[in-house]
Amino acid sequence: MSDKKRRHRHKKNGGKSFIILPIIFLFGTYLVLYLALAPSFSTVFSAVGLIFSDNEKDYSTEYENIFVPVSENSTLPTVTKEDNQTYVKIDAVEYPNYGNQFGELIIEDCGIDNKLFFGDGEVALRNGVGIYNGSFVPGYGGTILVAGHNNTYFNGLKYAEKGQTVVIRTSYGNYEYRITDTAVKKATDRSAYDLNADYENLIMYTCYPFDELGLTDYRFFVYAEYVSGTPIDKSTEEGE
Amino acid sequence: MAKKPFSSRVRNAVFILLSFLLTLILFMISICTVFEATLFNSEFIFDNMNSSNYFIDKRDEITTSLIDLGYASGLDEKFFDGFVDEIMISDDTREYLDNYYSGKGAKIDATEFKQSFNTKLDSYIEENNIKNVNGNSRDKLVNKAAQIYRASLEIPLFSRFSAYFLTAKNAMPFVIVALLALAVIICLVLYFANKWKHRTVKYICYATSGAFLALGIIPAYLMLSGKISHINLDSRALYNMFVQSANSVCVAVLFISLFLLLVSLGLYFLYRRMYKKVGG
Repeated sequence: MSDKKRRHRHKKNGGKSFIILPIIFLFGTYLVLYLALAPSFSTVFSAVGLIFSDNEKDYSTEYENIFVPVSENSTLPTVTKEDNQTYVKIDAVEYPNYGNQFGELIIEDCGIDNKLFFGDGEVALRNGVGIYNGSFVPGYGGTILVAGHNNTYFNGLKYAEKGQTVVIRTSYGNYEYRITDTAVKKATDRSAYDLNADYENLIMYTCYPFDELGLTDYRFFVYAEYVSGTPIDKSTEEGE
Repeated sequence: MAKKPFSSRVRNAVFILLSFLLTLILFMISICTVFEATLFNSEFIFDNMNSSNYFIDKRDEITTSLIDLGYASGLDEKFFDGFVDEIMISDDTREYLDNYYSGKGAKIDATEFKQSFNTKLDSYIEENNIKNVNGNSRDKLVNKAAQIYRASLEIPLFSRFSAYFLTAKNAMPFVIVALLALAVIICLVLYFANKWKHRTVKYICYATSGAFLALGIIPAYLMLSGKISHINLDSRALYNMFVQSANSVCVAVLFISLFLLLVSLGLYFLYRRMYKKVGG
């Protein structure tokens, strides 16, 4: 082979290797990294999955309002069951997400007429009162635990008395409750409410004493029993 | 066509392996250098805080949280007007970062905050003639406010990883020096083991090109996928600071990657020139 030909072949191969080898090195580098970090990969990926979401976080402090008042003469899709009780069809109920305003809570005798939120986070309590998200929405047949600040939206609870009427209005129906009792209990007293009750009942609470400056150790509880309002049909959910 | 002798092929394979090792080392040196200049440098974090409006956003966030606390404890919104300012936050953050990076711990000193809060609370009680004040409730309020302030200024996971962080930070300069020494040794081996010096240049060029690709792919992926902006942080101030810092880190990696590309191109043309000289 002549010198010229050998040089030409060498030149050709050398040119290719300047592209192919760096690409092989690229994959090689990540293969080595993969092998070195493999034992901690699942932990790292789980952590990354928790830290990163599919969309950018929304930092808006605005809340979503899904409350559309039900007028007195409007008809909601209902179903009558074997026990002759009428229920709101599950399809007609738009369950709120955490932080949504989905109703109103009114106690005329106490001068309370507040927006009702699902969840008792900062945004909710800044704008009204909120249902603890570990309790139930009205009509579901469980305990509805509502919190509010004693210096703002639940200040009127200090006028709460036995027999007064509480109205909760939602997009799927209006519910009425009657106050049965009030009590002052320690903030840490778990016996003040029963979240596992199998009957509909309303518990409202706020800090106590009212109008005191500072963070108090006590809570003022107002207990109310269910009077009227169409319950939600849960049969589809329960697979009956 | 004459086949290359076996020994020549083995030599070539060994040099390519050394070249790959050099790629790995250059890749690690670059990553370590970026870490040293960014994550392990409190000035970098502080500069990004300044340029991402961190202190102003933090002031607003803390004020909002304190106003919420005020709703729960009978304090008017006006009480918190101008109570927390960005200078106070900036000073406390500076101290927090300095302590953390010097290994003194990751704690926010809220003593000054508590004193200001107590003083303002006394004036508020006097001005509004408030009688219903319980010492215990008041203490709880002040402590809760200080806790909100401290929690707002703390950077998540900083304290949790402080031991690993400090170990890595202290070891980093030595790691970089060791890696540099290794890189130099490999270059010397390539230089002295090759009779034809253009081949040394060729193998180093493979290594820098490989490092350029391996390094450039990270920021390219992160920046094109927009993954950084999908981080889930509760604080908007922290989010802005994180996104800005992460983008700066990506740009730094990209710059090193581009530098390696330039070096590779330079080495390639040098190789061509030397090869022509030898061949011609």
